[in-house]
Amino acid sequence: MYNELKADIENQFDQASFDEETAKYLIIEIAPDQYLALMENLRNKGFDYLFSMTGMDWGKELGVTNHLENTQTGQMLMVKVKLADRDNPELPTIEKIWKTAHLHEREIYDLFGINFKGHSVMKRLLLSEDWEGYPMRKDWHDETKMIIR
Amino acid sequence: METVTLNSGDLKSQEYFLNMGPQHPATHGVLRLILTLDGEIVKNIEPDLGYIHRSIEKQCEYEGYKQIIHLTDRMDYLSAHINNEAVALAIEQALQIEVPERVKVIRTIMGELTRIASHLLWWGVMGMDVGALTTFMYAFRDREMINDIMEETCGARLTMSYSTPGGVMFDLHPNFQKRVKAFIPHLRKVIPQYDELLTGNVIFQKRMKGIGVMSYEDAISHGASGPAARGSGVSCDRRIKDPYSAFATKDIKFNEVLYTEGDNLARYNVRMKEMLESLNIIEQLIDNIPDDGIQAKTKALIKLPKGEYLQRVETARGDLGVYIVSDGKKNPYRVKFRSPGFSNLNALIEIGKGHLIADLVAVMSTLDFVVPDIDR
Repeated sequence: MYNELKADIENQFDQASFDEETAKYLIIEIAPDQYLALMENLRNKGFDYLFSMTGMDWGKELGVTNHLENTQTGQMLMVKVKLADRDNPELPTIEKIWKTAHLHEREIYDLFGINFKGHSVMKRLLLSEDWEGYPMRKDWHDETKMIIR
Repeated sequence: METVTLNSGDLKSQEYFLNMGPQHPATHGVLRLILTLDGEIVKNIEPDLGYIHRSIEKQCEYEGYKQIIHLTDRMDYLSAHINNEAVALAIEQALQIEVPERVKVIRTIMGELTRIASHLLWWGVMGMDVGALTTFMYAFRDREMINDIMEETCGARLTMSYSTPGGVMFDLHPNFQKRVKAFIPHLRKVIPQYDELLTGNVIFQKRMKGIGVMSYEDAISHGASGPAARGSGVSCDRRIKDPYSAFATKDIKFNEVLYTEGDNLARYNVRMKEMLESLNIIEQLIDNIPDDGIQAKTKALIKLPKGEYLQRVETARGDLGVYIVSDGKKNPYRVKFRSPGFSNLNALIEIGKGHLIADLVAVMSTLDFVVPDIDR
């Protein structure tokens, strides 16, 4: 189901790798500098529904997992991008490609501290403006606000 | 006395901002919208969330899989049962457990009852938002009947926590079938009356038609789902696109309600018709609930194999995604709840612009927000 798409992406993006653990979805991992180009490319291939953007902390790297769907064919993709720089993580925004990214990116900025360059309102969304730190990161600890068993 | 005549050409107007919420009756919860206004025309909307943010996703990282279920009730509390089902299905998918047929049918019936209850509540408060107070009383009378049915079987009226990984908590109450069968003709009888009361009302129609129009392309781009997207003609019902529970195993016939106008009235009509479709679904299942147990065997301490699991279900508000990343331990490594309300709110930012404040209230109503679902 995804062979043609996979070959196509492999030809155009030399820094894309694939994970075939699950047969249901195609998982693409892309380097940050080719992220925007790949997302634009996928939008033009008919992946019109950005189902969700998930902020991730893989321990060493921060990053984002995007779920994309083609509403015509029902194909589904996962696009992962990993950022090695934990102190200053940056990604280009995709809110111009899918409007739904507007709020999703703000949430990820708020909870993981990933800065989306070019985003129209890059402010905290859920937490208050004066909150320090990014609580969804694995290394975030707060002795008063968290109960850890 | 000297008369002063104001020359309207000399008057200057300027845009100002207004806080709508967080304590505003029309936002149905603690949602704050920062509005930029020109007179009474909305120029810009900026949502400010988090007044009921409890960091459920972070809490999940410290809880066992069976405990996560109880947190999901508190997200979209009007679709509590369907949220529970979503997590249970994700865990069953990961463990490759096959649940008994009885469980699947019970879950689907309960899910559809939840959907009707949620739509009824929406209909009641929707009327109230546009100034028709009667609807609230009627809708709550009927919703109460569903709550009573739920209470008998699940022991709870709002936060059910009824589905568990591998099955359901308790078997159905002996009265269940009888009471559901009595409820179906009752709702069939009253929905035409409701149409007469509100849908056909001229004032109501004028408040609804052509307000808050969302095009087909925009609906997809905004990630809108559920009745909000189906009002714009987007076929996005997960019960049909990737069937789960009894939708996958039983041959259930029902129609996906689609309207193409994309305005308030279209979204309104979708929900009204969906209630009848849900009744159809329940009717097809209620007489032949299989009898093969209510729980598949699961371990007391659930550990999911290393990997990533995504389960999508159709709640009353739309496409709920549960995305679990597991590293093989007893707690998940990361859980993401992709809530339908969050993406639908994104659509409000655009379709609410250019309308009066009163119309913005109506648009918010037809998008049907439940704020804990947005904030999580």
